[in-house]
Amino acid sequence: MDQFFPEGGCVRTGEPSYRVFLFTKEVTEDVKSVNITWSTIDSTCSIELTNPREKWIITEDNLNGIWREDEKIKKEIYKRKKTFIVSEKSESTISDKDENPKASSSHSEAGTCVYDLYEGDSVISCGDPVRIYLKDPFSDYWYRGFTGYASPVTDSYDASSDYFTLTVHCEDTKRWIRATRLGWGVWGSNSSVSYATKEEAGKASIYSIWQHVAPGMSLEELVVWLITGKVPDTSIVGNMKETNTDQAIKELELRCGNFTLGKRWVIKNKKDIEDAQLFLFNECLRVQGKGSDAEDLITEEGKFVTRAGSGEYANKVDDGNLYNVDGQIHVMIPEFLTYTGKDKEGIDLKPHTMTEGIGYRDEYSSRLGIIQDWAETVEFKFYALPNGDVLLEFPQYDFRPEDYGKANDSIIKDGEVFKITNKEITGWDITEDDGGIDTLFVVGGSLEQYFKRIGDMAQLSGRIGLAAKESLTKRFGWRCRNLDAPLITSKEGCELLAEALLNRSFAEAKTMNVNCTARYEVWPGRPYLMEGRKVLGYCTSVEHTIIWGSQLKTKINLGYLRGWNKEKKAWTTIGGKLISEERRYLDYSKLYAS
Amino acid sequence: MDVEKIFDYTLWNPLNPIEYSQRIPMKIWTDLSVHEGNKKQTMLELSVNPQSVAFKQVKRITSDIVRKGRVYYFWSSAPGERNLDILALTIGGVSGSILNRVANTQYQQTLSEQKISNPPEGAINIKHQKWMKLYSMTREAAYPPELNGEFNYAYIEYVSPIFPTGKTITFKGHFSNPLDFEENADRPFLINYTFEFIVHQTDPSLDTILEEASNFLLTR
Repeated sequence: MDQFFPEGGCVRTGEPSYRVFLFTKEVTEDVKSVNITWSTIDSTCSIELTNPREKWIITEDNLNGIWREDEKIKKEIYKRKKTFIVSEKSESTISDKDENPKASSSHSEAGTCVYDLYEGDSVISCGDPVRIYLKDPFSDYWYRGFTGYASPVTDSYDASSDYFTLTVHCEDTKRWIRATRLGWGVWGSNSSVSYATKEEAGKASIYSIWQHVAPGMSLEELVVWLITGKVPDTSIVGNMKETNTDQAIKELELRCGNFTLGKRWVIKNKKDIEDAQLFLFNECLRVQGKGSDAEDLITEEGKFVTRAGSGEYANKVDDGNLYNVDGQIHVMIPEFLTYTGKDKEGIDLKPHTMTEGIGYRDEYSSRLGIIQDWAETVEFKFYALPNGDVLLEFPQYDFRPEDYGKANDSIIKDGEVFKITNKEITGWDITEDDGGIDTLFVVGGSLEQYFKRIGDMAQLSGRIGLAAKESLTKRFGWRCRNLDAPLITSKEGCELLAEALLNRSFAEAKTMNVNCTARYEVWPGRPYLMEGRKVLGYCTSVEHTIIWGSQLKTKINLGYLRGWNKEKKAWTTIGGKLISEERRYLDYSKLYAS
Repeated sequence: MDVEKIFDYTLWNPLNPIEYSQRIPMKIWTDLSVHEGNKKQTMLELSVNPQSVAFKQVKRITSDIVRKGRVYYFWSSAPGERNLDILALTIGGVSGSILNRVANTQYQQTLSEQKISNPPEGAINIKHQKWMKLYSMTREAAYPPELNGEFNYAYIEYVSPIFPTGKTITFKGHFSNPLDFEENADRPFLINYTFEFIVHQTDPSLDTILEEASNFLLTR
């Protein structure tokens, strides 16, 4: 509720609230503080629980079946965890498929409990599912604050205050992709050498993911494959299946969690980006309904390990399938990248080709690391959403709030979504740091492909793109940087990339941190307009801090700040020229067309 | 005058802490003090003391200064509920005389001059004993072994013309500190004391009391 005064002042009143679920049990009453950071890279959170009389710690009495009245939730979690037993069935399944005796376990674990819980252990363990919901203080809407998994868990004691605290730090749902590694190296046709050395592998027919699986995949296909194990039909895997490479196939088709394909948006115009953002906002961030309706939904949803979309809840913890993630993979890409066929304009982003020469030869790599490396190469963002889904999207550095149409102005009542107003701002810092500015950028295109196409070393200079700004060199001197871009085969493409990177290094010099009142709908990777300073920035991360009864604040970190010109329009940065009215995001079609 | 009569009397008369018989009547006990295994089961009847009871309950409100004004956050236990923080009672008084004279003696003899192990019959040190018991109660453990790990709640039964419901009010909670007390040469045989009591629960609830008291006043 806002109350405006004739003098121009404004008094707003709000009622904050949150709800926290650990291991599907609501622990809100014991939560002292919540801190959530949501970014286009990794999202984290930490939950501080009061731990009076060590109510979250397993005691000797607990092991003997004695529980205090205030230990009800601990008892429920403990008893549930003790029912997770390694079954004989799962043991035999592993044995049947494992043809490599060296890899087999020397003893059976059948019948043992998945959890080791002894006296002195916290009943909350690493890997326990976590859900946090935040109520907008100024309305009856609830937002999903975080969905993920506990890791690490810290049990603290402070003698000076005689105070026990349990702090649960959390990772987002990409945890499964981060933890699962993939061998890029060689396989033999005999699966017994699947994890062997080069020498051993050399005795058999050799396949590698690098040479036989990744080529031909688009970035989107690659992300889907690395998470779901679903290899495109065009892959060589089909042929490999005809050989005796079970272990290799098994590794290729490994699922990380239980992600399924979600929405796919091909962005052609503003309407498309508006639709995409409205869906993401309504399905992934804000809980449907208001007030008690939303709370009822939260009560149900909180009982499940992760998100379940559209009211169809899956992987209920009682089904014993505790670690499956029921998230979805959403993809948002510009139309010209969706190709393909020679008769159409546009290109495929084929990460294998783009990163040729970088590595991934004979090593094991995190699946998440591979995705992020390749997404970063083309400036794509791959991040987890507050409901547990993941999103792969193109960069929107140069977008303006109005580009999102209704998603900017109609989904909340009291103002524009992508605008931080003076009645919300408690403070800001704007920093200009020229340490990372380059004034000369040299981009080298593909030597290999150049030779294939031209075959003449004498014209090598045709693959070099160079960009420099006299205005920058006069201020900052000559600061040269080189970049290899193996995919790019034209001088024009190299020059365009050089200019874009030069512009970006300049744009990154200015950052802004804004502290404001609770703003739970702020979305990283989107533009935000600061009313107080007339600047437009790209949100790199947003942080919500709630200390119950004491503090509530949102911190928005902005990069790529753009001021106003005399027509009140923000300057463009990344895609266009440094001082230009022309807006465009990084134009891959020109960059990588060959 | 027994405690119930004092309660009744106080209920229908104006509060007058100066008048001996109209000071605030209270009963104080703890789970431990009335525990069956406790050989010295104690329920204090502070019929003439204490002299003051101060109610203090704050609201959980924080504020931020924003560029255009102020924002106030009301921290409710659940959306739509009240944002009241814990109720605290600050209770203060003066002990009864600790000049513990022996009855029916021809000369004055204080307790300190007597053999503690063999107090004379008819000692009138009951006020001193009550104060000692109160002090002792405020020092009890939160989780004494006698209660098998259960919290040692303290209780204050209270009646006041402020809330004319015809019923006593029982506050359940804990002492936030042992007695604060002072010995003053101006009043050598009286002890000024205060203590704070944190209320976990009120029986009947303050809402009920307020409603009943309002109804009562409307009918007068």
